[in-house]
Amino acid sequence: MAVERDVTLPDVDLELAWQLVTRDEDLQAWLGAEVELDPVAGGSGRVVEEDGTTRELSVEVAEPGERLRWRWWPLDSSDGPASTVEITLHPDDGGTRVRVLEIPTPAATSLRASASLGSGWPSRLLSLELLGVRTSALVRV
Amino acid sequence: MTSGGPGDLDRAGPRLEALADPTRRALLQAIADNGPSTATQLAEDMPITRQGVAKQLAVLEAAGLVDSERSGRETRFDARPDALRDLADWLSSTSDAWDRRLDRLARHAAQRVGRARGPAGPGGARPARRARR
Repeated sequence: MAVERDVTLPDVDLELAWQLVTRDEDLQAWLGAEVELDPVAGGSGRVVEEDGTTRELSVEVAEPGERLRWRWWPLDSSDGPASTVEITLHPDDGGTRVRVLEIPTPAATSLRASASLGSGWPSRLLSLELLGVRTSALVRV
Repeated sequence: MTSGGPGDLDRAGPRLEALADPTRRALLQAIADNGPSTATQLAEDMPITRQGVAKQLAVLEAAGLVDSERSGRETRFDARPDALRDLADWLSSTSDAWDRRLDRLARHAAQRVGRARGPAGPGGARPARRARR
C-alpha cells in the first residue's frame, strides 16, 4: 500500500531530470520551501514545507539518472509517520517521466513486520482495495 | 488493545504491512461487509482452514485493524474504522502533497528547459501532468 504519482517532463533528458531531483536549488523550487539533500547513499538532508512542517531525511539509494530513495520523518511526530520515498526516472517520448512512490515505514517495526509477514514492496492495487474496505467499514458503522 | 486515536499515525506502517497480504485483505473486507464474525464463519467463505483464518485474524488484530470480543466459547472479530480512517487520511494527505509538488516540478522543469533554449525557443514550456491511473 503506497502512494504513487508520476509526471512527465517534456524535453527534459535524464541528466537534467536527475539535477531537478537532487540539486538543492532545483529541489527548493518544488519539493519544499527549504531543501537540503546530499544525493549519495547515507547522505542526510532536511525539507521544510511552506507551512513549516520540517522533515529530516536520510538517503538510502542514489543511482544517478535512475533512482533516488530516501527515508524521512517529521521532527514533530504529530505531523505523521516516518516514510520512504522512491523517485525513479524513465525516458518518455523525448522527455522524462518522474515516478514517485511513498510508503509509511515507522522505525523498528517495519523491518520486523515485513520479515514476519513476508510482504514485499506493496503495490498500488492495494491502496484501491484498502479504500474499498474503508468505504464499506465506514458505511456500516 | 492499543487505542486508535488520531495521534496513532505511527501505526500506519504495520497496518499497511498487514494489508499487504491478499488473504488478510479479503478477511477484513468480509468483516467490514458482514459485521462482527467468528473465525468459523469467516472460514466458510475462504479457501483456507479455520486455523489459517484464526492466524491471519491475529495478525490483523496485532496491527490494530480488527478488535476481538469473547462471548462464551466464541470470539467475534470486528473491523476498526478508526484504524482504516488513519490510513485513508495518510493516503489522502500524502497524495495531495505529491500532486502539489509534481505540479511545481513540472512548472520548474518547463522554466529550466525554456531558459536553456533561450527566449526565441518554441514554447516548450508545456508540462504534461499525467493523470493518475
